[in-house]
Amino acid sequence: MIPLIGLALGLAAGFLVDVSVPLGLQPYLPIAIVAAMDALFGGFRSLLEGTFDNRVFVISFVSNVLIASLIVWLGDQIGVGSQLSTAVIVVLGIRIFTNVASIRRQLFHA
Amino acid sequence: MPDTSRVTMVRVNATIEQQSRPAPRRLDASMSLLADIAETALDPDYRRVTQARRESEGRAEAEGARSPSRPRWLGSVALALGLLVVGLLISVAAARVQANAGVISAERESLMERIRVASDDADSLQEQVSSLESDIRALESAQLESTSVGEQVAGQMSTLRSAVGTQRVVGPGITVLLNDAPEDWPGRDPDTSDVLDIDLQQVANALWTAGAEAIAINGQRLTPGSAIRQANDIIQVNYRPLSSPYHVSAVGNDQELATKFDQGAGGQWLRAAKREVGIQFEITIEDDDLVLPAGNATLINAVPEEVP
Repeated sequence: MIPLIGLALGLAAGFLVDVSVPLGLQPYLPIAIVAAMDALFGGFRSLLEGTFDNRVFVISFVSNVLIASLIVWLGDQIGVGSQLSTAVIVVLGIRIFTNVASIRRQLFHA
Repeated sequence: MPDTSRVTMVRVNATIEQQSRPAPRRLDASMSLLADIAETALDPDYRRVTQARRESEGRAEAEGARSPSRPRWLGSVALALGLLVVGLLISVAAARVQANAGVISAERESLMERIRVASDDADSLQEQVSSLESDIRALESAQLESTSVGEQVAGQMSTLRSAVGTQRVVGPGITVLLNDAPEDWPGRDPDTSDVLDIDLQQVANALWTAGAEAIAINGQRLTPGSAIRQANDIIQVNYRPLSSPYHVSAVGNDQELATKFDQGAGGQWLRAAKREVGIQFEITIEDDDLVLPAGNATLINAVPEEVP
């Protein structure tokens, strides 16, 4: 329950409070969101499988976001930023789809 | 037969080889990257940590002691914080995109406003040019009409101007109306225009051939410097954008013009275009006299060469 309140609070805060993201970080927001979604769905799947662990979730979330952003940032520095962000999105996208498919199987047995 | 036995031998050998192989090669071994991603979609740590916890709990139970696990609320708070950050990320990005959308549409709005203002300016300047030209003409005729030679010159100039297209002309004539294909024409793209610059060019050329003395397209008089061209799907005549439907008016002997145009290259071209892309056209003989506006043909560098 508390975690869901946290999620709702975060969503509300982003819309209500004008959080100014530094201009240099703005291009990495979408990538960070995809990485966060990957961690989110992974966490939900493990919850359904009964293997959820708070620590693993938080660590995987933080490291996912940081590493995804870092890869894209590094790519931007060497001129292949868009290609690397495509790579990140492909990998994370496959993971998200696999996790969501597993969640679907466990929820609906289909 | 020796041949058959050898084949059997080979087959037996192959079977033995297959069975003795340590592990069958996976079909998708060459795509191990994708398979790995799909297999480890769920962080393997979840499984490992759970296993470790269960083992330690089992051991603790066996020892009869209370399991020395971390306080539960700490993990909950960490989880709540993590989810808070997730929500924050998503909403901040969404808010930023919305803010940018506002900026982009405002920019587009201001560009459109600038285009409108500039084209209004151009229109008013064009009007100014026309009124100044008519002033010049009035002054010229006032000057020339004082003498009989001058009157003759004025008549000549007027004829020449009419021929070149820098003076309004009145006379009988025909109008060729061109319009885009009907809505239900198969394969019609509503975003593009079906009448092309080449159609108007062909019509204008055919009208000259049929004996037209003056031509205007949607009020743009064709002069020696006129161009009929297309820029980004918009037809421009005299560098002024026009839109469909297109009225091509020509002054001349109306009956002759209509017949010659219809039976000549113009009619042929339009009928072919109607068949191919469905453009609609209509040739009408004007009952009243046509009035064609003056165009612009200013010479800046060219000067008449003196005839020896």
